[in-house]
Amino acid sequence: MEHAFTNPEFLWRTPQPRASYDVVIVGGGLHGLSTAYYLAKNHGIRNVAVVERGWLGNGNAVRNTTVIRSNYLRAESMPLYDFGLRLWEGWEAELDYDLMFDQRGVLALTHTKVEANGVKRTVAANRLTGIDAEWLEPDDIKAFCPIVNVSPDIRYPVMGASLQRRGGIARHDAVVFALARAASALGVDLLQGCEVTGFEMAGNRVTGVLTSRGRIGAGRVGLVGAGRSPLLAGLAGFSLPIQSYPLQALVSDIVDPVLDCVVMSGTLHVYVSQAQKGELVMGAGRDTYHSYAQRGSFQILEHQIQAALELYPIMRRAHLLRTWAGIVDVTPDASPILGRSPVDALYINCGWGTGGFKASPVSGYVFAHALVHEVPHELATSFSLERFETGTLVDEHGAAGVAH
Amino acid sequence: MLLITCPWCGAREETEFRHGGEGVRVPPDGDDPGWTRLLYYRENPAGPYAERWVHVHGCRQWFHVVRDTTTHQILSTRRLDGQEGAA
Amino acid sequence: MADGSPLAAHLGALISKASFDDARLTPGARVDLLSVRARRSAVQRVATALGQESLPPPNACRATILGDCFWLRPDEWLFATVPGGAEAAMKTVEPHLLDDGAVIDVSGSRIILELTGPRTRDVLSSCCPLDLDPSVFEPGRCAQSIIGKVSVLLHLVDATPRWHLFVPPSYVDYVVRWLADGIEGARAEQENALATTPHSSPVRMLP
Repeated sequence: MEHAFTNPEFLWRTPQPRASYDVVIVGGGLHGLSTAYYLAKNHGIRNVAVVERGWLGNGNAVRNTTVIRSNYLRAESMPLYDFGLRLWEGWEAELDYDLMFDQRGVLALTHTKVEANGVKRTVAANRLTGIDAEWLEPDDIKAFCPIVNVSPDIRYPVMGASLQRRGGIARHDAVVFALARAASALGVDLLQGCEVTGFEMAGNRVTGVLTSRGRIGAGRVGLVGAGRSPLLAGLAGFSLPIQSYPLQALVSDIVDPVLDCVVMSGTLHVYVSQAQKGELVMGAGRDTYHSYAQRGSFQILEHQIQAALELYPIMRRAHLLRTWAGIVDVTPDASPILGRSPVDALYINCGWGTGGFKASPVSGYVFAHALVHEVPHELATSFSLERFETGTLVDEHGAAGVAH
Repeated sequence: MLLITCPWCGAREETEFRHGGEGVRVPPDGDDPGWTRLLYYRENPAGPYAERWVHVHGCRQWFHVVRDTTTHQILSTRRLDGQEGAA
Repeated sequence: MADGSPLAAHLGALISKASFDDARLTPGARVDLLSVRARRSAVQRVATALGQESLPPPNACRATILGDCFWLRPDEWLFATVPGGAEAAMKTVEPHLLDDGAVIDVSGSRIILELTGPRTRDVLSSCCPLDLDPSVFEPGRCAQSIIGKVSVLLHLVDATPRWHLFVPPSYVDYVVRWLADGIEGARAEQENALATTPHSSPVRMLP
């Protein structure tokens, strides 16, 4: 396996745009690259372009906290996310790239009876679906993750936790590099600095994309714009039930290894892991207001640091090194939107909200299927845009919550 | 952090307020697509956005804000009844 | 708050260590509280009956014959009157409201803490987001804001400065802890300043 730090000078081709492609993917983040990769690999569709307004992986791909897990609640979601986790388990070999994928376990702490009952319910649902999940009592938590403060005299004592041992983290930009290299090698044109400014239509059918690098014809178009999806949909003449918010995260300076798993706390609004380099990587709830500015308000960070210090007193000595924000595309039910749009030949893949990183493989896998077959992949039939008219929502607020 | 000018109390820090989302919601005439829009769809522009905030730790009044979602600059705030200032 | 009350004892234990000459926290006077909510016409009648031109505008407090009157929101004012005075005060206000408002005895809904001394602006700014600079926050002003995460009504009584904080009783402990921490910080800062010569480096060594 090639190591991430022995990259060649160029991992992918930098072609000029062709006049037209069978499929144009709008958005060169992880989900867009994954979609292009699977179009070429699974379906033999290689006449594909990914158009990206900035550079590959400049948005949420590098603005997340790299948490990977599949312990969602609903019958519709669990198979989707767990198939995604199984893809992660094979991706390093498949993409021949060291993604630093590390199944170190994801703990979700509970601090109230109600929360504990809810998480136990999820554990049970996971187990019935064949997803690994365990319930840990405070003593078990202390044994699994010694730095968690499980004493009963803190403001929100830890009442127990769920543990998914197959969950973990990966190195986000290595995933961008690996996918871009693999897609490019299969023939996909990766067009950076190529901002979509409009769509060319024939009646209700999209026939091309208008970009800052000229018009590009398209047999089909897939919108994979994450937080900017509503703007892209607007250019195509329709709306999405999505609201775009900043989601902030931070890292500390590099410290000795103290934390070898991911720990989340929904009540205290903080989740933490330690990168292999040594920084503590920390995230929290989203900001309250709409934004496309890729930054948020400081009190959100302050609040999560307060929570972290109560849960992990050892972190008192760490320093805040860097903060950032991505723009997350939040749907009313905290589940993604995958499939057809109101425009013919135009497909949408968005709404992954606060939990998109983990879904990078499965998002591309099922969306490529939809682009080719014009019907959803069997794992994604419940995630159409029409569910907001029929009312068959897939409420994952509990599992998505703060726990990204 | 935002500095928000409450029409009644003046400039205060964001932590005294709560965001209330899109400013004006109009119930539909009764058709299903209209209700779908009312329940699940919100304006989400890149640029000036008409929203509501409530001064929850201050005078508890709701008010209108126009804020640019690309810069976070607050372009205007006004009372729900449209009157100026705290008169 | 009467001496010997459990709260006074509790507060004393919390703050005696932290208070010093330049920032001192004490239980404030006990008061009865009235909420007056009224439409504009009734507001004017109440003001006239109290010998005032009007009830105070936003962020202001005025002394009246019923005690201090605080603006809370466009249609609500809070009167802090003498202990046991609520009933008489209600009888003074009620006839002027007619059907355009209501007066309610809300005594006990807030407890007053008093904070005095030249360093109290630093203490408050450690836990309250208000701009308390003397150029914008003058004696007679009040404001509703937060201490930590808790709603409080803050009143600058005089230029000492002397502050009154109106705090919900169940949050007094929390608020006092924030203020005591701020006072401790202000005292440490002052002791450091005294121990530092004018030419020493402004960079302090971290422990």
